[in-house]
Amino acid sequence: MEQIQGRFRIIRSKLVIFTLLITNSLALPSIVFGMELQGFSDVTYTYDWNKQPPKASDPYTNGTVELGELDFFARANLSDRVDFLTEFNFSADPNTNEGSVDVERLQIGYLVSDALKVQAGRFHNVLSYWNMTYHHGRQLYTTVDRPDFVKFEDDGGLVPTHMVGLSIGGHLDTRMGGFEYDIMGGNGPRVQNVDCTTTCGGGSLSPNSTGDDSKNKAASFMFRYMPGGALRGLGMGISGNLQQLRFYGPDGVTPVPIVSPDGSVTSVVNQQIYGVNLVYLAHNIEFLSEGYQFRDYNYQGQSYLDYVWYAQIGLKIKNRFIPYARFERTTVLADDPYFIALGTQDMSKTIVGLRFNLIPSSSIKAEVQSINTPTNKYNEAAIQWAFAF
Amino acid sequence: MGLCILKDEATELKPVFANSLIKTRRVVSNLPSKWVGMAFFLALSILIMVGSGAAAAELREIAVISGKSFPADVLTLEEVKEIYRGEKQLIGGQRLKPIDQRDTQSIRTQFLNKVLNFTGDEYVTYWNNRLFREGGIPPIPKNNSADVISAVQDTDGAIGYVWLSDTADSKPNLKILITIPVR
Repeated sequence: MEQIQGRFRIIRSKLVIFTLLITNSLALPSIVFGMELQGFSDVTYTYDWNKQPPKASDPYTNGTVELGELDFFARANLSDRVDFLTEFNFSADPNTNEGSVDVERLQIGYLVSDALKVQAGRFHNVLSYWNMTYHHGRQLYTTVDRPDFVKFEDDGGLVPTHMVGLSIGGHLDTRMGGFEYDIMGGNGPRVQNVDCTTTCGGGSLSPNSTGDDSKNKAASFMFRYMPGGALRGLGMGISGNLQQLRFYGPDGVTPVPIVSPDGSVTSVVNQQIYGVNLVYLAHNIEFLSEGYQFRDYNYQGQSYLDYVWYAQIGLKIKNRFIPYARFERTTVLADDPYFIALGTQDMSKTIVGLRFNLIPSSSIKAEVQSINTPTNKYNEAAIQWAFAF
Repeated sequence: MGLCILKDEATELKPVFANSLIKTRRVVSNLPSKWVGMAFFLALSILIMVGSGAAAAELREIAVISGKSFPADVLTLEEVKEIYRGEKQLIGGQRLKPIDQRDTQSIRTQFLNKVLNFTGDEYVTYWNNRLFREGGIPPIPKNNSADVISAVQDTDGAIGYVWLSDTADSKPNLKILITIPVR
């Protein structure tokens, strides 16, 4: 009984905070206590067919309506050089329908010069262009969702999307164009909820926000070059992430050894991820592409190479309509303990869709996806109404 | 362009003028030739005056301004672009505070289109994305040029844009960092 009452109190307190935030954001000017509060959210309907298991056992037979994350973004300039930024969101676990509040970003920064800003806190990992550009704002995505491998840790993502630690970055303008750099160091993630009851899988990344389970800190970097003149709109970058990951069971504390088909056993992986990105955003063309190579080393030092990439193109028509297409591919080795723990299979996905900008801060998107894995070949349709406020 | 059109017209008119005089003498021989000539010069003068007025109305200058305490005396066009895109945030160690105008002001459309190469909607989207990514200070909108002039005088590090003609009364208290001709 006490447990139920306690749980009720927690839910009630979350509801009170949620109501206050909504009230603040809707009824008051966007500046609250010297801080500007903005946000994103969306409502998405998805329907799939030909998915295994067959429809009879599929809970989404008639499709499903998903309330997207309610994402709040606040920033404040504490002085000319010191600023603060936070992003927190309310979301529901699709499996349990239980809500949760997550601090996604919390950054305090000091602007030394245009070429150097020092920050501390919890960041979005600079490894991925998509992750650093669009964050949690689905209104900012041309498509309904992120590429699968860039999804957030708790949503099945394969690359780390958060880091807690220190960051330096800046922007340099030269006659040849603009250069951007970001370097981060901090807690690396862990892989939790790994279930090896039958075959291993089901794990998900956790960014270790409150403490690091590894004595090796993670580091990541991104260097980007954006030429000017006739090539304005073009951007190209290289990035990387080095980290050590340990595997844990559902209790979050018990290490789980992963047995690979090649016979090796390990509960820790040293991982290097290297990537390139190429972007063109000009003349009404939106082209985004990123590719990554994973180098996973198990406890015995055996290495595994895996690849993920996507390419997306859209064409703005009168700044209102954007027909778009994306292809993404995941190629992983069956012996790689990291992907065994996450339950990742080879996958290719083709998306075709249309985005309609209702107003600059709200859009409606409709898309069809074709998804291929070794065990499943199915289609999915989605309609999303996304907005920023 | 206005001048070019006039020049072209003038060069085309010369032979026509000569021919017309000849034709006039032949066809309308009873009209005094001096009246024909005067009428033509009158029409040409009106054309030049109207053309000059139109040219003056088309070509205006945007002045990027600051208060006297601003740490720079001159900005390049590229620096203005970087400041209004949020890429340049400091100058002489001082935080820059760009000031925008409301979208009801025609100068804003000119400034965004001709200087920054944005439409109004694109600029809003650009800043929404940028703020979400990095935080920072977006350009603060003011109602009109008078408010912009007042704001740059009162705020350290502030720069704004107004029509050059609007700065006439305030020049002693302003720095004109660059003027940008626009049509």
